[in-house]
Formats: sequence, C-alpha cells, structure tokens
Amino acid sequence: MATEIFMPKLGLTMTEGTIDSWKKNVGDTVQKGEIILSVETDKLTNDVEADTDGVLLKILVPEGETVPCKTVIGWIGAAGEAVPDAGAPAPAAAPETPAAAASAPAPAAAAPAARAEGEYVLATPYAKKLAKEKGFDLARIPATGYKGVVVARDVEGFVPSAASTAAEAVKASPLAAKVAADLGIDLKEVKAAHGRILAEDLLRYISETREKAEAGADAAEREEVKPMSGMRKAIAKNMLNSHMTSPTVTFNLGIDMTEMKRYREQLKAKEIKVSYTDLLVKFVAKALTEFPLLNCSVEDNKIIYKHYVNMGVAVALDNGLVVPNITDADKKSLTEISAEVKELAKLAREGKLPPEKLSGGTFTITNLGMYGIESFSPIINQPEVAILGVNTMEDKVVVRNGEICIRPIMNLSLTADHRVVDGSVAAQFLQRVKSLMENPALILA
Amino acid sequence: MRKITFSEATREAMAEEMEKYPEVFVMGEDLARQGGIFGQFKGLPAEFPGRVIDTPISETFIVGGGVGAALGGARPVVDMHFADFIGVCMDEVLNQMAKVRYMFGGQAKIPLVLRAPDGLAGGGAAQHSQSVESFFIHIPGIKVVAPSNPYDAKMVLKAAIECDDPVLYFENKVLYKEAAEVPEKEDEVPYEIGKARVEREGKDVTIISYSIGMKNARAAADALAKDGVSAEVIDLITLSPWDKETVLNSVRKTHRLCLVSECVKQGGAMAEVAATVAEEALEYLDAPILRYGAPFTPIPFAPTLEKLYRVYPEDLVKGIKGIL
Repeated sequence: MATEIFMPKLGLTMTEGTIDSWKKNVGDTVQKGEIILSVETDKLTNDVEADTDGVLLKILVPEGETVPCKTVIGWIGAAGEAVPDAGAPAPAAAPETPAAAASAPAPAAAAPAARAEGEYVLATPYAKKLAKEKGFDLARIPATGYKGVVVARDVEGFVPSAASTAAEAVKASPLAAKVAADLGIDLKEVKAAHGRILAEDLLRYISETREKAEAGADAAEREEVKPMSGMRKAIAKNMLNSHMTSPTVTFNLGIDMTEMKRYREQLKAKEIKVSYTDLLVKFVAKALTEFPLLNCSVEDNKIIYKHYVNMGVAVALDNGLVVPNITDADKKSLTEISAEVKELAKLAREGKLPPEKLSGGTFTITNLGMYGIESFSPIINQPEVAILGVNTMEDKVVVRNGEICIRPIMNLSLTADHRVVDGSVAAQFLQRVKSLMENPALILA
Repeated sequence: MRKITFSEATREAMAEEMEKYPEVFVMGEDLARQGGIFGQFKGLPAEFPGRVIDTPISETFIVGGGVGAALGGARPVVDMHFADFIGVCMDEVLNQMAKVRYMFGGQAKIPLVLRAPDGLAGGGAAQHSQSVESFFIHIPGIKVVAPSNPYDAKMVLKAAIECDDPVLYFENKVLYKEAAEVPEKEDEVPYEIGKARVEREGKDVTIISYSIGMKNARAAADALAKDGVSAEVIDLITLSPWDKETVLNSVRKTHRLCLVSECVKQGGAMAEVAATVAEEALEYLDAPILRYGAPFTPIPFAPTLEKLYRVYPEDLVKGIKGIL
C-alpha cells in the first residue's frame, strides 16, 4: 500500500509550508528516517524524513509551492505501485465536527494548480468546454470540485495572467511553426510583429537570443546568481513584512554599566557565570511586566496584551539568523535564563531548534555589541511591537556630581511600533530599563 | 379545485372514454364482479353493462384477446392485475401487440391499452412488487407511460385509449390512494404521449423521475432548496418514446443530472436517459451523472429488508451535495 507524505505541521502556529527542495527524485529508493525533502516555514527551513521504506512514487507539490499543513505532497510505496487518486486523501486537514460531517460532505480541498508537465487534468466535460471557449489552459486552473476535479466554476472564476493568455493563443504561420518545431523553439517566447508569428519573427528571435546568450556569458564572470536558501527567503519575507506593517521609531539611551559590571563580578565570584545578554533578558523582562504596551501584539484593530514575557534572543548563524525565545522569561531565575540562552544558541547553530521555540515570542533582544556597534535601528520581529538593540560597552568620559570621570557606557537602541507604542511610552520604558540596570538591586524590588 | 385520488382519476378517464367511444371495452381478472383489485374499475360494470368483462386467470388470453379485438376494430383496455404477471403473456406483448401493425404493413392498427399496477406496496415480495417498465422500453412498437399524480393519471390514460398504437400504462399501487387536485372535464388539458414536464424550474441540478419515483425527486428538491440548492424537477411521464429534448435542454442549463426510479437500477429506464445525455450533451455536464434505483436483488419480503431496498430522498440529497 502506498503511503502519503504530508506537509508536516512543525509547530503550533504553522498553518502552511513551502517545499524548499525535494532531496529525492521520483523513482528513488528511500529508507525510513532518510531525509526526503526540506520544508520552509515563515521561521526556518526543516528537513523532513521518510516515515517508511519504499520508492518515492509521486511528487504532488513541486518546489516553491506553498500548501496547508497535512496536505498530501507525495507518495511512497512499492516500485511500480499505482498511487490513489490525487484528490481523494487531500482533505485530511481539520477534524470535522460531527454536525458538519452529518449534514453534507465537505467540498474537497482545492488541489494545487501546479501539475506535472503532461499530467492528465481531471476536469468535467463542461469545465473543458468552457476552458476551450475561453482559451484557457486547463492545466493552470486550480480544482475545487468533487474528488479534486476542475469544474465549471473553477474555469469561470479563473483569472489568467496577461502573459499566459497571450502565450496560450499563439498563432503562427505554417512555415514558422515548422521551423520552430525543428529548432525546438517554444513559439510562446516569440513576439509577432503583425498578429501572427511569421518566419521573419522567428529569425529575429533567434538572432536576439544569440546576442543575449553572448552578453550573458560576459556577465557571468563578473556576477554570480544563486537562488536564496530557504532561511534567506524566510528572513527576506519576514523583514519586508515587518517593514510594511509597522511604522517604527528608534530610541537610543546610554546606560551606565558600572553597577551592572560589579553585580556580574559578584556573581562570578560565587561561580555563577552569566553574560550581559542573560542579564539583559532578566532586567528587560522585569521592565516589560511594568510596560504591557511594549509586550503586546496587534491584530486587526485589536491590541493583544500578553501576561507573560517570551523573550526572543537573536542568534546569528553563518548563513542567516534565527530568534528562539525563552518562554516565561519574567518568571525565571537568572541562572535558568543563562542556561536556556546557551542551550538555544547551541541548538540554533546546529540547526536543531524545535519549531515551537521559534514562535510565540513577545519581545526581542538583539545584540551587536561584540562588533563595536554604537547605535542601530533593529527591525521588529512580527507580530511583536518592539525590539531592543544592544550596543557595545565602552569606557567614556562622563560628568558625575560635577566631576569628570570614566564610566562603562552601553547604548540601548529600542525600535518600537508607533501604532501602539507612543514616544513617551517607549521613552519611559527605556528609562525604566536604564534605572533597573544602573541599580541592579531593584530587580528584587 | 376538487381533489380526487389517482384511482378515481383513472376510473373517470375510463368512464369518459367509454362514454365517448362505443368501441372501448375493458377486460381482465376480477373487474366486473369486484371492481378491480384496487377499486380502480368500481361502478363501471353497472354504468356500461356488458363492456367490463371478467376473464379466466389467463394473462395470455387477456392480451392475446385484446390484440384480436383491436384488430377487429375495438379499442380494448386490458388489465394485468399485477404488472409482475406480464411475464406470463410476454409473447403476446413482444411479438403480437408490439409487432402486428408493422407486420401488416400498417393495414391494421392496435389501439390497445395494457394497464399494469406495479411497485412496492409493502410486503408484496419478489413476485407482486416489481416495477418492470424498463423491459418494455426496449421493445419497438409499444408506448410506455407511467404517470405520477391523479391529474396525469387521468389525462395520460385518456391519451392512451385514444392512441392508435398499443400503450403500456403503468400505475403505481401506492399512488392509487393519493389524492390531488384534478380539473373538471371542461378545464382539462389533453396530454400528448411522449412529452415530459418540467415540474419545477431550477438552476443547480436536474432531477428526473417518473411514477412513484417523483416523490423522491420532489422531496429531495424541497430539502435541497432549504440549503440554497436550486433543483429542476422533471417528470418524464412517457418512458417510450421519451422526451429527449426537454431533458437535454435542462442538462444544458443546470450541468448536473440526478436520475431516480423505484425499479432495479441496473438496466433501468434511467440508464437510457443517462446514456443519451452522455452521448448528446456530455460537454455540458459539470459532474458525474447520479443514478438511484433499487439494488440488483429480488424484492425482499421481510419489512426490514424491504426498507433497505428502497431509495430515499436523503440518498439523493447527499449525492447531489457531493457533486456541487
């Protein structure tokens, strides 16, 4: 019996996933536990292992396609075994309520429009007739009918891209068609000067493509084109989304770290080794419990206040970054936080972060201090509303009580979403963080 | 408007036709003495003395004698008691009644009506409950009708009696007792054999049936309407020659087709409709054709099993929702 490969649900908040790449081809033998594909979520890219031994019989969802979790994306079975109807097992998604099940069979989930080249398109006769009349290519039309069949409404509701409509209605002279067929040229690529494609259009196309190919050879030496990795795509998507979503303001404030340094030394003397990041997690978490607006998220016109602090800590990797979070950071001791930060960073670098650690954060700390950065404007990790950038700690000349002295100063850069966090609130929050960090004893207060 | 039962409606049709044509007479078992096993001939023997004739228990004679009388210039109406019994006189039906006019090069006509009560009436079992209409749509030379309500029962029977070709008139035993509005004689609209009726207009699916199957069709359409699905309901009325154009036009409009009958599904009259739609309007179908009928088994005697044998409106509703 062939076994389905499902789009895995890699965390509570994951609703859909994108096929980053198939590591196996149709016909390849796979073993249980062997990595067969990688799936990209909005957080990161995960490898997916085969559940069973067999042969990869069919790939239903090609690379780059996004489908809901639990969608059947392929089949594993014995060599040569037939795969059940593509549409049949698809609606395994949500558990049906008994009431819904009793009333009427739920319409089958829409099958992805992407079909393998030359694959027979299941469509009703009427849908085919309509598609023919409208000049649509059935293979491009997503199916919503019974058993994943393309039905009339799918054709009626289909909006082809301008390019594809034009391409589908290629008209060419018999000579041009023959030459194109002989040379293996797709007529859809050829532009006609007058209505239909003539032999001269074809000749022009051939010379143009040759020029382009020659020009391309030069450029290739000076530039290199590489497809984005799954993680890079996820970062690109999330950063752009954040930039489009939140109107941000960045606030900078210098913290006198004298007391904090002393506090850390005291702990060290008692064999408790904590980093400044650990300390920041602890102190900022406390401040956040006092400023709920910095620890919320926005959905539609609603503000969702979180009565917990899940502190995200950005971890730089060789090829990108991830932001695992420390759940309930406000309730954890400094040593617990320290151990967890270390563990998460280690898992992140090994690519083994459990997906649930990557979602549900309420605030993020990102530290560039080790590179000597003095100020920057971090981008908010959606759906959070603020992020704290940590800069380098440096001895600076300052004036205290009318005297010039040297103090270790560290700048904090807070970026906040002005939809909910007004300037005064952000400033007061930052001021509170400063006050806590300059007077570490307050952490107990 | 007055309400009369299906049974009364057929009796009225008989009386009016006997009044109009002296050559109309009735022949069958238990008609003159009993008024018909379902009372459908009640009163006629007194009203038309000598023209309601009881026969011996011989279906072969009933049909054979009817064909002979028709050849001799009469307009006989012969009764089968139970449609199941046509098996006895199959040669008379298949080779005489249906073929004589053709074999005589049209020199003789057979204006004969063969009435045949059919259907599941509860506990009739395998030999007294069958719906056998589908056998006869395969026989060129006979017209086959099966009305679904009192008014049609009357008008279709009158049309059958007036027809110069043999007509097999199937009347459902359960429908006999059902009453409905039937216009007075002067307001009647004659029925033309071969015409179907669009009983209800709709746009999402066409449900087609005839005779008692129309109860399923109507009930399913009602249930679907509550869920916002608009079903077109067609009563075929005549099964041979059937009204292809009305059916095809409807399918071209709704793009979905659901067929239902009480008879065994395999090889049933609805298979012919399905095949014709597939032949002539395939490109208009936006879903597979649904077809409901009895399972391929003799009709069980046990009430529990007879229940399982039947088709219900819910079956249609579920099926139709599955293809929307």
